[in-house]
Amino acid sequence: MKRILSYNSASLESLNNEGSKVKKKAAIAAMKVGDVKNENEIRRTMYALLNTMAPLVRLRKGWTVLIKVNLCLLIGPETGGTVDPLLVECLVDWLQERYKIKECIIAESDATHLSADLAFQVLGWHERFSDKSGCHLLNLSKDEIIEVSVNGLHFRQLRMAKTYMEADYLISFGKMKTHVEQKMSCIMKNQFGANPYRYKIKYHPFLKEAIYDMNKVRMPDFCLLDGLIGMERKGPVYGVPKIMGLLIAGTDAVATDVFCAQMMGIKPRRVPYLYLAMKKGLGTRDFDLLTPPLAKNLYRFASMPWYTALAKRVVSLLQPRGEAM
Amino acid sequence: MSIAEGRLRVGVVGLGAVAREFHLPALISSKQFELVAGAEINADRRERIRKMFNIPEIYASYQEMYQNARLDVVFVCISNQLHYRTVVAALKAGLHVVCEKPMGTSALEARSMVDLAQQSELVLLPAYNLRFVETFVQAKEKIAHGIIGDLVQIQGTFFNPGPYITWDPKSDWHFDKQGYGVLYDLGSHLVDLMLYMTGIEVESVSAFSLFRYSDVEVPTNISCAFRAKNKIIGSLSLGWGTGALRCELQLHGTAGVLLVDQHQLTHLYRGIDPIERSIAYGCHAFAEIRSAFKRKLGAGAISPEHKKLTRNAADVILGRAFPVTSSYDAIRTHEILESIRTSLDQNGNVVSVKPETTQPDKK
Repeated sequence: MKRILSYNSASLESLNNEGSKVKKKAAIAAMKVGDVKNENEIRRTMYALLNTMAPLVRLRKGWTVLIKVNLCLLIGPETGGTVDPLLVECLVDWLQERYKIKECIIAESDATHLSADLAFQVLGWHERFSDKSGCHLLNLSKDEIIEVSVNGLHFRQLRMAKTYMEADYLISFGKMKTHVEQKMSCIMKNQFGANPYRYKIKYHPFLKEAIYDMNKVRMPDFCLLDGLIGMERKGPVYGVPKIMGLLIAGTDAVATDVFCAQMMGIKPRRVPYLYLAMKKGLGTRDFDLLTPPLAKNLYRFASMPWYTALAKRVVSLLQPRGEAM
Repeated sequence: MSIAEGRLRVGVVGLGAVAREFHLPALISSKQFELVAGAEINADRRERIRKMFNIPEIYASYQEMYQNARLDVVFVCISNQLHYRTVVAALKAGLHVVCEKPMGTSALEARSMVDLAQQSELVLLPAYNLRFVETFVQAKEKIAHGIIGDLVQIQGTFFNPGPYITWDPKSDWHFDKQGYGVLYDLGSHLVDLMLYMTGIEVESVSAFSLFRYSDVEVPTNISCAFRAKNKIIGSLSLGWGTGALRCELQLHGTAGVLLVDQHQLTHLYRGIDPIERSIAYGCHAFAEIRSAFKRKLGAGAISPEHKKLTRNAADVILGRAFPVTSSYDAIRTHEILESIRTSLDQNGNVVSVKPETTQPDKK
């Protein structure tokens, strides 16, 4: 039986960064891996990236850390669709070694076309993390559910996983890919996936507002992006892989997404949810790059072909109005 | 002319159909080669080809040509069974060699040729021309760019109506038992192409065959399943006596599929829609019509693959490029072909691919 707890807006303010009056500049670091199949090189680069960001990771001994990963379908990281478990393993090792944290929870929720438990099993997460002490996998949809007042743009209240809301430190581990509706899917869109409700597709007609609300309810404390192999064209699930060998870390979800948009050759203002977040003052768009700069548009991502977009538009116009999603 | 002057003096051993249709036209049109000699045992053919290509020096045997002509390179275009001794003699005479596929009849023969070339510091290249076909090159690049994710399964097919129908070899060596019929004719191409494009390491094979020609001891149709490293499986189908020529590889990856043949490359992925598919078909149709026109209208009358192969061979010999067709790959291809052959002899048993399982022909 799921227990319903209630969070008021004041406690919510204290949980995320949004309440702070003075916006601090975010910090971002990006590093490149030469060979995306070379496990040792990936480990080395990931550690170097995390060590660069370490002074900004405000973690205390004995805390519980929740890592929200992006597993949208039963497809491996080589397809550009899901986060590479190797990177998460590096992160867990680093957190345990450096901060002596109490527990590390790797979490994802069920989605319209996905059972998170099955994804953990089939994609090798179970195999990799089952023997790791102080670390476990969690299906947010099966966690205790609590009710959270958000007063957002679409939701007034959100039913969230208790463990997600109460974790001492939240890390969002996203994947760098395009999105047929929102242009890109990186950190903020990954947070949308933390909603424990399975049929999230019903939120798609107001996706940018739903993404905004999900980030408002709890902003990640630290952001990581798997850009080893991204996805272009019809992402986030039906696209084509794009090898980049890029690993990105950031202290703010909005700033990290702005940086990623620049890398992908997308104007941040053209990304609906990002534009909304910037307009509403969620997080910060300004950042300092702690690593040597990479050229903007370095990995120009191909979006959906114009003729497909046109055809989709025509079909949507021809569809009878008022049909339920 | 000499290597120092940037033009290579070339001789061709065997002036049969492969030389006449592909290598000689490419050599004649090349700025890097100067065709100076040819060797052919058949007197009629020797004279006809000499006149056709205006070859300055013509010989009845390769030994005579190696001894008398001033050469830098030889192109070996004779039957598989004669590759070993012809190539070894050329290397011993200090000549670089481009040898028709499959470069000998066994892995051990191929290995000894490669070792000799290495000791003599000479270039030895197998002429696997399909590696230069534009669509296969594009497919290889796409795989390297991870566009289909991790390779899971491969399906290769190479069929043609058989010797004397689409292909007129003017000799019966294709039907010799040692040549093993369709396996070394089409199989060597298909295996090499698969290894070139995917870089997989085949571990074991199991094969079945048909003998559809009466009183001929070589298989005409072969079906082979294989297992490779990194959780990859696949099948190869080879055949003579079918209605049409078809050489295709289907490469199934976790993120997409590539269907590639000599004329078109199709990329399928989860999100492909009818409009994209139709546009792709339209592009293929246009490309096919353009290439047909090019071939008919003279500019492309010479096989473009052989032109590229010839250019790459010259660049490798002159130290300007890396070889597209490596002689070490020819050894790997032989190892797989030999395992298929063993499996066929054992009625489909699973056979591990082991290096160099046969003895070289020391004739």
